[in-house]
Amino acid sequence: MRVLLCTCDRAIKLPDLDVGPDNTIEQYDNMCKKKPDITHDEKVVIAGCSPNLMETLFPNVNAEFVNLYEHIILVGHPVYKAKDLILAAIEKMKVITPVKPKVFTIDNKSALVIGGGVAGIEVASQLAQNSINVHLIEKTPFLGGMVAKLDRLYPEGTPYSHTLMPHIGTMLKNKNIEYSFNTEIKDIKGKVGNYKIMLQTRSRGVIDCSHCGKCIDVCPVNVDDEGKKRKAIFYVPTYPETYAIDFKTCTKCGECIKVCLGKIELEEKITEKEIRAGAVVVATGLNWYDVSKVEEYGYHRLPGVMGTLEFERAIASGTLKPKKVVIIYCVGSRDSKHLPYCSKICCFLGLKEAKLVLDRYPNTQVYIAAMDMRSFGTFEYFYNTVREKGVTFIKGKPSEVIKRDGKFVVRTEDLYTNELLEIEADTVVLSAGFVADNATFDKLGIKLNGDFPVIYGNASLGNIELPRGIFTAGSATFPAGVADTLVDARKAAFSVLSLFKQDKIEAILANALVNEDLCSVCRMCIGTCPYNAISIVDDKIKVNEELCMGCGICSITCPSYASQLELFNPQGLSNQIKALVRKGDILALLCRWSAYNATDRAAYDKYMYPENVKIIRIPCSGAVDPTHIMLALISGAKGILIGGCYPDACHYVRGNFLAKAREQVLKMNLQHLGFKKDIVRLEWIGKDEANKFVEIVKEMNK
Amino acid sequence: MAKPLVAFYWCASCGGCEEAVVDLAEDILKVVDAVDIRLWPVAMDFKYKDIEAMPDNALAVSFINGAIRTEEQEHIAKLLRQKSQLVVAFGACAHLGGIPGLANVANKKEIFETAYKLTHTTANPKGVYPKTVTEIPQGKLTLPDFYDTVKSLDQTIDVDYYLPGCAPPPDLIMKAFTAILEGKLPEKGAVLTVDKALCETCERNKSKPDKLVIKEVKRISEVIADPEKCFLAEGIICLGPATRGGCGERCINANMPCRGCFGPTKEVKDMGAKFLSSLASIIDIDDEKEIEKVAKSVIDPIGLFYMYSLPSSILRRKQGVV
Repeated sequence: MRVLLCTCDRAIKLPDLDVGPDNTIEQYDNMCKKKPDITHDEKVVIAGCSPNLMETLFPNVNAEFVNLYEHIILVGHPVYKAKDLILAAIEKMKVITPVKPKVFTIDNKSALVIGGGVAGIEVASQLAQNSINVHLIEKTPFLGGMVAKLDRLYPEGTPYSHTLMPHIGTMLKNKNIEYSFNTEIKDIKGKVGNYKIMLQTRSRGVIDCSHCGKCIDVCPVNVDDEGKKRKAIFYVPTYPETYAIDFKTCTKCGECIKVCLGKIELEEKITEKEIRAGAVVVATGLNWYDVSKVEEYGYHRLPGVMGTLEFERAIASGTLKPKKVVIIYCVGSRDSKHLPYCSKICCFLGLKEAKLVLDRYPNTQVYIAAMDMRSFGTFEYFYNTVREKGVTFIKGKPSEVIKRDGKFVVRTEDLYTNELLEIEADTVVLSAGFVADNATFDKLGIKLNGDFPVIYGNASLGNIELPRGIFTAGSATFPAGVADTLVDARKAAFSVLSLFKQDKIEAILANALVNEDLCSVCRMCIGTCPYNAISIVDDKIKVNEELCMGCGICSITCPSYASQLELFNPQGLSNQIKALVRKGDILALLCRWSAYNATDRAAYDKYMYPENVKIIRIPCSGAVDPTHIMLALISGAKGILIGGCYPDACHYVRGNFLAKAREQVLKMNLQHLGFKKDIVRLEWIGKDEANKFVEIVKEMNK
Repeated sequence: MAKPLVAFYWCASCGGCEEAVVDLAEDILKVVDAVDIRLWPVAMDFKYKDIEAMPDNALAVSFINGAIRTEEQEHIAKLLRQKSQLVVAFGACAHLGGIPGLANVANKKEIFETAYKLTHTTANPKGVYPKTVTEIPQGKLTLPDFYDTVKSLDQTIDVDYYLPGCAPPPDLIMKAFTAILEGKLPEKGAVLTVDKALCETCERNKSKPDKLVIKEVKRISEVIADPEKCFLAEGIICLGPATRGGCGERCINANMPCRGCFGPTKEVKDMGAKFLSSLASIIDIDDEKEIEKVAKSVIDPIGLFYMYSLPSSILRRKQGVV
């Protein structure tokens, strides 16, 4: 093994450093200026200044970094400690297998876009304009998605012909988009740059259409489509301009065939087709939360209590002329029994419905009962517009809706006036929160955190080096209005374009690997993975390397060490600890994202700490195994500090909470084994909290 | 041809391992047919001097059960090592230290005080304790020394193989016998069972949810366990994930969770530390105070995590008292 030593312009002097017969030492005066070559398949120890700097010089190497400058020179620690640190690093690397570079070839540069709503349309359009071949699939017979169901859009109240239709028009100009309607994905195989996708298409029924509309006149089946009346054969004025049969309601009476100038087939056929794509954009949108689950508001039980879409369509079509309307906000939202989150857009939808009814019937009395009005940003103007129209706002969450003397009574508190109210109304509208349309997520192997793929979609938590082939856009990421959806769609399109700019992506990334000879499929690891990267495939534990972020939490969880993180296997750290810790030392195992940086800060700000503090850099406080603590104790450590990120701020989501749980249980064991309670301390140390780090180690050294 | 010579010996143990040999039932006749037993204190009358008189390596194999707690046990273990070609640590106590090894949370002085003075049923006003040498008018009485620390067999002598379990199940004993007689032994130091953890073969593993997380820790005495469900999925601590399999899930089938008598799987150095890490990891709570509460609800942590393996753990015993 090569030990590369940077003397930082001869500031570091290590006379008589014996690195053992199997290792060679190479000395450099200044690696920043003259950088040694390191290949991907070798293991090295790099000693010099902080790994925070060294890693920018040597990205993607199989290295253990020894911080001589910040941990020895600047804090005035003796030379023997430098040697100890280097030799311990060698001991660690001895048992480490070099990480093989993962090569992702982008063989196929066409994209599959799932969902023909605003998000999918915009993604397809943007990609096609950049010469990418796109296959757009839509599970219904028509484009438009949620927006096509709405009468108008907030805040201005424009009909969708102002927004959706121009976007469809722009998209249709591109010749390199293939469309599949009534189509969903059956399954998907492969990885980034090369997916094989099996599509399943239900037949449209109408094979050849001249758009005469005679079929609608003769169809005897009336369907209530979320507040809108239509027939079993129908048309949505977006695209394509071909009628379609709703086979769920069609009675196959054949009346339509008699009048049809084209061709209709009344047997529903299912066909399959395999396509290939290099990237997939999931633009599957959202669904309203099922408001009938919020039983106290009586949806279904009390006819006339309606959802926002039904209300909107009923007002628009003129079938409803209310005199007094109560719009109840946050139905199921921000409620631990239903949706624990705020869906972000429903406040505006409620305001829109209020404005809609007052635009059409100005004398209607409208009440909005809301816990809070979350009209962030410029939507405050919208809120004011609606308020000035005479809508009465009540601050409170109604307790129930009942029917009395043929009228609805909404019972609520009003925190503005501190009164309990009973509001009589002829119409009650339930403004519900949203859930993701998650059927596609399951098929794509995207597990959800809650109801949306929040973590998957949140790039600030992701490993940006890891190429991704599956993206979300629009409300599939989280509920969004049309404006935000368009922005999100463009971001997704940009991600695909960036991916397709490359032919081959090489990355050295530590992943968790499962040793099947040791794994008993006990499943302890699955739930602890912050990224849902672990699952059972064919009765075996598999780590999805596209999702694994290399935190090491699973390898510390595994009761058999069957799961091991590359570059950081528990045996490596055990060796390092055994070689490093001497009697009376304090071992500091510090998270690379927070506490470790505080030690660099301590060096720059001249916060001195005792020389018996030995620091090892770890990926996460959640990657410390109690076995490591035991080894340090038996080596004579008088204290062990685990430094991690503050609660909720863990780089790997909840590694620090796992560390906390392990520390608590371990401490109880150690107390029974004759140790002081504080021999092990888990502390949250922010990246600049040098003084906190120094105070803690000084206290431990007393 | 002369039959191979075999010794059975017991150290700090309960006698269950001896029962396990008898539990071979009619198979024991095959054993007796195939070998010549030269020491078995529980069943046959041989003397230590018979063994001492043998040349070195005269015994083909010695099966030693029990942990090493006294001077005598250490002496005989060393004697058998000298006289045997193979030594098999038989059962959890010899393998890991076992239940007697839990005494490592105390020292000799504390144990003697408890056993000979403090218990309610003991009357010992003069404070008489066992001594290695007692002078009486007729001469000296001697007792083997009682050590502060219980050791596993391999901390005393070199051990060739480990037959795990409290007690080892008859099928594994018979397999080990057959392997020794046929010379089909694995690499030295092997534990003579499967390499993977118990969950691999446990029927209840199928009922385990994919995402195994718990919000509280329950003791088996507090709940009626569903005989179909994975114990851990119900919040009952089961050491199955951390324990070698091959036991036939005898405890699980009796609706009792695994306590770890087969010891850790092969890469694990410290069974208790490893399992506590796993268990703590599945506590699905994101609040420091709540985590502390759940951790505190683990009663008798040493007895839980190290029930059979304290002497073979990294720390081996309570520190600072001997």
